Amino acid sequence: MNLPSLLLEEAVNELSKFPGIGKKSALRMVLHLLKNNPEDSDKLGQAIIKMRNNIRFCQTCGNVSDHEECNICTNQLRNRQTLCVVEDLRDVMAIENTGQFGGLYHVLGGVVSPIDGIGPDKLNIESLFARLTSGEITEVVMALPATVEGDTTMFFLSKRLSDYPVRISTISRGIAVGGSLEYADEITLGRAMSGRVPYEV
Amino acid sequence: MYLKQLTLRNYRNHVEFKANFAEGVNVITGKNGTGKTNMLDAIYYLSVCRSYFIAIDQPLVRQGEDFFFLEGVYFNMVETKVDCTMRAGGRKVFKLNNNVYPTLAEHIGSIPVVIVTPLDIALIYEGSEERRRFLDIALSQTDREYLLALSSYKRCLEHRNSLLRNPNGPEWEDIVPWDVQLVQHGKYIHQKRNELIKKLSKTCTEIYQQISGGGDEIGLEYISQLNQQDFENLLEKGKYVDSSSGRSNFGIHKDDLNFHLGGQNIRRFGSQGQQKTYIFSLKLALFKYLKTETKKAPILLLDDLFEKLDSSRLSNLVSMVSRGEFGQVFITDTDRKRTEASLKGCLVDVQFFEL
Ligand SMILES: Nc1ncnc2c1ncn2[C@@H]1O[C@H](COP(=O)(O)OP(=O)(O)O)[C@@H](O)[C@H]1O
Ligand SMILES: [Mg+2]
Ligand SMILES: [Zn+2]
Repeated sequence: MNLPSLLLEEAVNELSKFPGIGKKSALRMVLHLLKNNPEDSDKLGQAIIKMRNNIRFCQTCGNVSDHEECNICTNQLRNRQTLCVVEDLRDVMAIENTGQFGGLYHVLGGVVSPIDGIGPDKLNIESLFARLTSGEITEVVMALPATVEGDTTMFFLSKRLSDYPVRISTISRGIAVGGSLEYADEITLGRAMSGRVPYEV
Repeated sequence: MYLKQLTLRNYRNHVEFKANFAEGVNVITGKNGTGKTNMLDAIYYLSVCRSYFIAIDQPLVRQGEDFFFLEGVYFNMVETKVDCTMRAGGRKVFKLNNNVYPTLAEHIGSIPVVIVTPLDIALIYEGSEERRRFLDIALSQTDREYLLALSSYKRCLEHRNSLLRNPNGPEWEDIVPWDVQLVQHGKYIHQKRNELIKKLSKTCTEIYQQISGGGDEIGLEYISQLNQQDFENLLEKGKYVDSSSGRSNFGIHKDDLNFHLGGQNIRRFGSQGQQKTYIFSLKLALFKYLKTETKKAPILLLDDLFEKLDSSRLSNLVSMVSRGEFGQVFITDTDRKRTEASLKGCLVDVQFFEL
């Protein structure tokens, strides 16, 4: 894309680094900013900088937090015997939105994925076992994605969890939950169904 | 089920194309480079969400444009409309009667399709990957679980290989969970491939005899390390080889097919005509398999049908097609007169289109 201004180009490049945002959408966002007052852009910039500099992660569970401990961990009304292990923050939000779970969380910050260089040691796992030693927690629910990486992570966790007197359960997972079908579509099909002839125009 | 109407916009060399097709035989003629193959590819695309020739979507957009659009109206008691919009830099969106499919896998297999092109000779001459692709294309159209197992298997394999490449030697303990899943998905894939080949091989032989007029003895054999040995054992025994080579040497990703002619591999011992007949027979056997499994006659796409088959084989083939054994058929050729002549006496509707 040829842009008439370097300033414009820089902003478009930065915005297009977001997942799901291409150059075209990024340009649309920038043009929107230009149409509005400069103060609006200022507010946006400030909000992003403030968020990034001040956000913290809960020392106990790894959830985002404005304080040392998040307001789920500090909430004394929640069921403190049940712990739900999730991949990332989005899962906490998604499960909270269902309103069906009143226990505590533990955010791993990822799943085991050797091709990305992520082994069990790169995940927020040791602090999970530290939490279990107090003995208050009696059930661990593993709510990990229905992907091969999610399954492998559960395999590692359940092996280590068997050393503790806790009940281990998983959420019921259908095909529809997982990213694996998406994956089947985009990558496997691409390789499986076509691609024999090199591209020539 | 047949394709009643097709619309293409900016697909490959096509700017705008719209046609209504016959339920029987549709012949597309035109000089080289007019877009006959591309048109068949568009029909294939509407069925399996992919081009048969190119794995990625971007090059399919007509040069200088920023999207392509495909629409097929199908008839099977009622009309259904499938369309696909693919924007440059974006993702393709498939719709069924104007409703967006949440995942493409939900669409694949609902309009079964079989394509035969001169490039399929690669099945005989190229590496085993081509033959596994043939298996995958077949099974993906009849079994969604297969598609899922295949994708999980490939993903596990990538992870496993990256653990095997560990410069300090693999940590077998970390590999265990990947092996558990590899075995689970691998066994399923093996079983399905095995069943498929059992079903195809008999039909393939029958069709080969019909086209060639008898004589040649042909065979279709599924080759897999899992045929003789248990996958778990294979992995266990393969540890040393795997760790010294830094990759996985055992599993269904090593599967192959053996095409024989008179007990020998057809690549070395078949004439061009015999090889081509074999490919046709295999593809038509796939047609019958898909028809039985999906309970719908697949759309049959025959690209450059008149290339290289001798006239007696060709007329046997054409007469099978024109007896209506294959439902809706699309045939491309550069020479309209030749096709007209060979379809004379065809029992089903024939419609001609000139590009
Ligand atoms: N993305 C594209 N944009 C423009 N033209 C294309 C594109 N992809 C392929 N073509 C052109 O389409 C033509 C080939 O069409 P094809 O269907 O193979 O013809 P035919 O089968 O009738 O011989 C080639 O000339 C090729 O350059
Ligand atoms: Mg062609
Ligand atoms: Zn917390």
